[in-house]
Amino acid sequence: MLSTVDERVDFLKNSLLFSETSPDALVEIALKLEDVEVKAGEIIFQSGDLGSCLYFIKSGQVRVHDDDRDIANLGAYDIIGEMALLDSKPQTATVTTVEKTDLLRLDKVSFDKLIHERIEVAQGIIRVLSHQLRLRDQELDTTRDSLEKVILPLGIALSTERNLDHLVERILIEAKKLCNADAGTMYLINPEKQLKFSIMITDSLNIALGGTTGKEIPFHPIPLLDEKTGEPNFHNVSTYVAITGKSINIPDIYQAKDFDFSGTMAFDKRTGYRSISSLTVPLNNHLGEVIGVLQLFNAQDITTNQIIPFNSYQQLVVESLASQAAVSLNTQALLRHQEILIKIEHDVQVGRQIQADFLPDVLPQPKGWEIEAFFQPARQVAGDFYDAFMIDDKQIGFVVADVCDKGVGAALFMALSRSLIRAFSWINNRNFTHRQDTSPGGQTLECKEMILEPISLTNDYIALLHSKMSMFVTLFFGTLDPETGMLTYINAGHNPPVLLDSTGRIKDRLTLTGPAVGLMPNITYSSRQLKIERGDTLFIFTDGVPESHNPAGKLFTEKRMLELLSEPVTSSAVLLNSIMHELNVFMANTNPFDDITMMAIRRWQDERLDP
Amino acid sequence: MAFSVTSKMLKNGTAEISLFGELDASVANEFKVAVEKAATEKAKRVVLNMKDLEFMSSAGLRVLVFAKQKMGSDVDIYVIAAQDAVRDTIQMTGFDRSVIMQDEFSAI
Repeated sequence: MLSTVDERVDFLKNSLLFSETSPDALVEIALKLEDVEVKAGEIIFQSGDLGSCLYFIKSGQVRVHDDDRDIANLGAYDIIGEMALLDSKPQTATVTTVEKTDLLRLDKVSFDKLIHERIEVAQGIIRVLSHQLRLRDQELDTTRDSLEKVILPLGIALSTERNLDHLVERILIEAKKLCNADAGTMYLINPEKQLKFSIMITDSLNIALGGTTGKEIPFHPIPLLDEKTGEPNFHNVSTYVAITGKSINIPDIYQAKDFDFSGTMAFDKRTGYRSISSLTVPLNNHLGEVIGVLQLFNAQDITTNQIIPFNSYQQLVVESLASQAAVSLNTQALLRHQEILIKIEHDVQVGRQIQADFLPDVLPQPKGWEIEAFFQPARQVAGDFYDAFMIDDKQIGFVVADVCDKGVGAALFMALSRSLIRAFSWINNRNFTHRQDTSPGGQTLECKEMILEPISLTNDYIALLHSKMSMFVTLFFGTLDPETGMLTYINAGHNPPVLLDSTGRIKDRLTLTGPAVGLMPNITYSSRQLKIERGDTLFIFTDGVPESHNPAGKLFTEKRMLELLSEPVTSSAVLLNSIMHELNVFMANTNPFDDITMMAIRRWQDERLDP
Repeated sequence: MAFSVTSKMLKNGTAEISLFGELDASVANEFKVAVEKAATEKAKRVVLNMKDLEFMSSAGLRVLVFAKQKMGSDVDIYVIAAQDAVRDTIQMTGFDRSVIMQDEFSAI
């Protein structure tokens, strides 16, 4: 609708810019003005545009904003666009109409002329600028105050608060205080993908539920996804915020067309409350995860206590608090996880100590023999084991074994196997000593038979009682008469040990005499015998040696191991060390793939001269 | 090569399971699932095609042991065309007594 000169003059008189201007000057100015009608939701000018005119708002409402947030809401008698005209720099914000708005436009040329010719207009500009400066000063003071007294101390407190309930409550209370809001709710997202009410406070109704109050909140959690359709719930403002991670600032919920506030309105009806303005922000930990929602209602003017909308500054601060809170909550969760891991780590350490206990402290060293072993688990606990023990006051029993797999499970089977073999060997020995045949030939045969029992019993035990685990053990079990050098052995599915002479020549490979232990019950094992001559060395090993990986993924191979063995042997210890050295060089920095176990049993060349 | 397993149930009650790539602890469960399926479908014999199986760790051997126990003593397990390394592992542990190892399948 076009305005008359009189109407315009009347309007200009009431504006800050022209309030001191003389009536005929006002008429002159009024003639230079242009009527502009803008529909709701239209952009008047955009941030970055060059200024070409200024506008007086006659009626209606506009929103001054940039990409992130709203800066101000302006209405009748306000001026927009004047800064760009004064300093000839681009607009710093965008102005969009909220409803149908009538403007009076004054172009740049006319404006410049007015300032030059009419001192009162220039003075009017100064008044306008001065007014804006005061507003800015006030804002700055408020900001500085908030920062020093609330935000910074709160940030520090949040990072040290260990108690989750206190943390969450503190955030809600401080955010409420900052905005002078009457009510606030904190929601946390539960594993069932619902918003669970965590804390609810409404000051004017004296309601405080949840958190450290210990009082239950009588509302059901709100599902993020519609229970029937599985679609995200965008109608409820809190779930919308939780799903999108965007804040929603609503001046009056009863006017909000995009959201369903029926729950809030029902609450209002029941209690006589009037929910008006609301600010809902996500607790976003910036790892892309929203872990909760903070909602405030009814910001109040500090002086009048009237309910006002939450302004953009308050929104910014609450968002910042919320994200700090989210990070703190995350940190707390991580710390709790760490505590659990430390406990598990501790248990594994204890397991390792117990397992070390299962390995012999000292290996028997009968006169004329050198027995050495090397053991390196791939992980904290191992599936390999070795053992060497006196069966009676003459005979030595020794075992090198590999439980299939690695880790804690294998370690438990290792303990079981080693215990069974020892126990059965001793019992067996006791039973056999009741025999009377003491001739060397008779004794030799006895050894061959005696050795079978412990292995066959162990096999049945594991195969029958632990069949569900499908575990098995490859093992080499030998009994040695140190006086004669007679070795009786069973190789149950294990890597064939190597018998070397003193020059390193391979005399024999002690191959399979039965399947791995624990595969099937009622297996008939067989045993073999051979004599270890003076100067000979028996080298026993597990998979870990030939199957060691290098950084390129290649295997060490048995072939290379045999090549290393083909050197003259002067000492078991030296032999094992040199192989281990080669393995370490080969593996470089890679983690060992499997447990490594080796045993070397060497008979002295000359009993009197060695070592 | 990455591990994969395929299984087929033939009309005569033979469960044919083919293994490809490297069988270690991280993938052993896939093989186990195929064996369990054969057991549920009451297979009368199990033929394991290992032509394309390049490596088998003890975890894989455990699944073979599990298969033998699960299917029962009446069901024969055939291991067909096992590559050298795999055959060695099976023979070394003596498990070749529990399965029938052949280059090409022919029912016994």
